[in-house]
Amino acid sequence: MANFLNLPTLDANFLAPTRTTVDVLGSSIDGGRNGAGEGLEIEMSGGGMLASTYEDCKIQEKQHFEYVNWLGARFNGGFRFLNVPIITDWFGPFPSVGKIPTPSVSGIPHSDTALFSDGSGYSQSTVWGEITQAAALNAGIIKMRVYGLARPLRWSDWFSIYHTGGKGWRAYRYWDVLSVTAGTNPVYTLAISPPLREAVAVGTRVEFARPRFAAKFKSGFTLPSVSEAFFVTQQTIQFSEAF
Amino acid sequence: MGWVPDNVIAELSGSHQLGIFLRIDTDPALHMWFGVNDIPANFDSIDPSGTVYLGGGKLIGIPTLEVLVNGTADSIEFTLAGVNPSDAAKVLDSIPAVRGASVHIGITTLDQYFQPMSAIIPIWEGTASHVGESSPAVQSGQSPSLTLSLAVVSGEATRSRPARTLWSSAHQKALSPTDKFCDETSRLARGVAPTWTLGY
Repeated sequence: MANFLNLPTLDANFLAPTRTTVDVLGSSIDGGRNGAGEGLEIEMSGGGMLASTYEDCKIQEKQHFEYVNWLGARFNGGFRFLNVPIITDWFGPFPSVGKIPTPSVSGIPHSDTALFSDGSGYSQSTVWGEITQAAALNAGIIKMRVYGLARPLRWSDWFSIYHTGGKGWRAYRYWDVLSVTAGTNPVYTLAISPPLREAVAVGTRVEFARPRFAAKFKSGFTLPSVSEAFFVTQQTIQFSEAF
Repeated sequence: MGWVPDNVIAELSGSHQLGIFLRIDTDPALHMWFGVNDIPANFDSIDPSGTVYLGGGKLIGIPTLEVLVNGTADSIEFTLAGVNPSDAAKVLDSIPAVRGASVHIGITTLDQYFQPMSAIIPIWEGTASHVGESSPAVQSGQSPSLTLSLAVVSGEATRSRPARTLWSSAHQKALSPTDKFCDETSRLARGVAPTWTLGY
């Protein structure tokens, strides 16, 4: 059984894609058509799977070339896996620091205000959740308490859960808020899509900062090692959820 | 309530999410369905306590299912294309004992929250016959795919045919001299619709 734990995570900031897409692909068959050409949709994938594209990653520095070479070397063929972050920094429910939405804060010192010897501090995400009711495999509804929200969860947001049973990081988004409690750290009952990839226990952490999902290179996609004149090039990388 | 529960029929009448489930009664049984995700589900009386159906996802091609009519039914092949190693291992593991295993196909609809709306409704049953594997060579630049297939027959078309005789009218009359029940059996052949009379 493929194991999706402890995977390396794609360094999204370093790659600096000019555009990323993430989508949930379903598959449906047609249930016949009426006179207007419209048909019934029969969805067969049971929730679909994630796919993501990092478009036009800036490959400029030597280290970029090294990194892209590593990606190709390790993931070509689509049988090794990595975590792909979903870049929600701008529209996620994060507080703003200096007018910039901040999914996570870094540089947090020790209690005596000292930093680590190299000048860095701790970092932590600003918004996170905690499952308050165990949910089974394939559950479409989860209950979680969310901390640090700058706005309520209302339309849809991406979040991810680390499934320690073997599925690793999986990303979900909610499509309906079924109920919400009052208070500073409200408990949300959310209808999610796609359904849970693995059962979750009470207390499981839900990550809102840079949600990520275990992925592989999309079927048929390979990442070549490219050298261009003046050594500036752009490459597009395609991922789909790993199973 | 009919064979298909009313709420499932109501759901089927509009755009809906359909789950198609495949169960091969090997030991241990192979449970697979057409979705991406693994899903807990069960056939009534076959998996009474429930089990988890593996997400075959976009792997499976389902052939047209035929039932035995007038002694004729297809041998059909289920195929798994683009198999990943873990699923392939599960399928291959069950190969030695696959012959003669019963194969069930069932459906149910999923509700808004991706939950099966009923126990899986069995709609077809067959008997596994043999497996095949193919991976055609492709030119460079194209991705090869591995396809596993399982031939499944319905009705009595297995090669391991039981010994069988035509129970003729003469046989029957040897036991019950005046019984004309089997008088029409000689007309039972493919393509003939006998009229079931009392033989007068």
